[in-house]
Amino acid sequence: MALVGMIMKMKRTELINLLLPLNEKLYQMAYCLIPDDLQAEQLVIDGVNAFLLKEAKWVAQFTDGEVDPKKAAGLRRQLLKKILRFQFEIGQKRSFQLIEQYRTDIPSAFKKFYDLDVRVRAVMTLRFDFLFQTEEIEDICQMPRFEVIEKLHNGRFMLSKDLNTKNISQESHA
Amino acid sequence: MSEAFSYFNKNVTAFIDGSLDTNAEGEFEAFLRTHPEYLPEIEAKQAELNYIKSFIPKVELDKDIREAIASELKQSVFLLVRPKHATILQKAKMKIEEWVNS
Repeated sequence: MALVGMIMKMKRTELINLLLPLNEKLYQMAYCLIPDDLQAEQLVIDGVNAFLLKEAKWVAQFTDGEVDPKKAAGLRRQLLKKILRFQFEIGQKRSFQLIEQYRTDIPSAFKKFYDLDVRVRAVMTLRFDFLFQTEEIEDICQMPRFEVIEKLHNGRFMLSKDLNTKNISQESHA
Repeated sequence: MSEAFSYFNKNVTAFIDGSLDTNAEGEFEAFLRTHPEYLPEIEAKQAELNYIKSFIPKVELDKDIREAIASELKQSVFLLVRPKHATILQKAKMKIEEWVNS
């Protein structure tokens, strides 16, 4: 029991416990940037590694002192946003290089989404899938507010333009 | 532009996608009860949002990929997160921690 208690108090284990439940979301975002299983997996790992290296001061709280369990949910959300920032930074460059390679394998239901610019895809995913606020997206994508709003507007327009055509054609058939 | 219209426009998207906080959501619902003329627009926006969401891929994390990522992330944490000037006791604790989690 004493050993279990000691292990529970280990700081890096606490960081891992915060980190692992984020895998689903990190992978989802990575796949929206690069539509390939292996590339998405690698992007998750690279995003976390970049975060651990570049945010060493923030990460130091897991080696320097006790982490208040009441703050775990808040810390996990901060952790997600910080990692997403690095993942987006790396993923957008990689997507420019790789997207053409995977374009033929994209399921037809998602072709329209992957026809969007990688930055528009990121903003759309963060807003409509992760439900982040505009200010949070500004921070994650390191974009000024007007650019986030512009990309949301463009993405919505490009994805929903068929909806209006569909409605009109349904109405005219009725 | 009327005050009601500008309030509606400012909050409608966040209301539909569920990202308003509890108080703001309650206020918006009360607004809709007193302004039912906006309800058809809510329905149209909801349909548009569902349509947009249908284009965003939902990926299920495969068991093998989940395990591979978890194992890589543990290794990364143990390799990259270390106190700058660790004492011998801290180093020993870290070794045990790595062994327990391996």
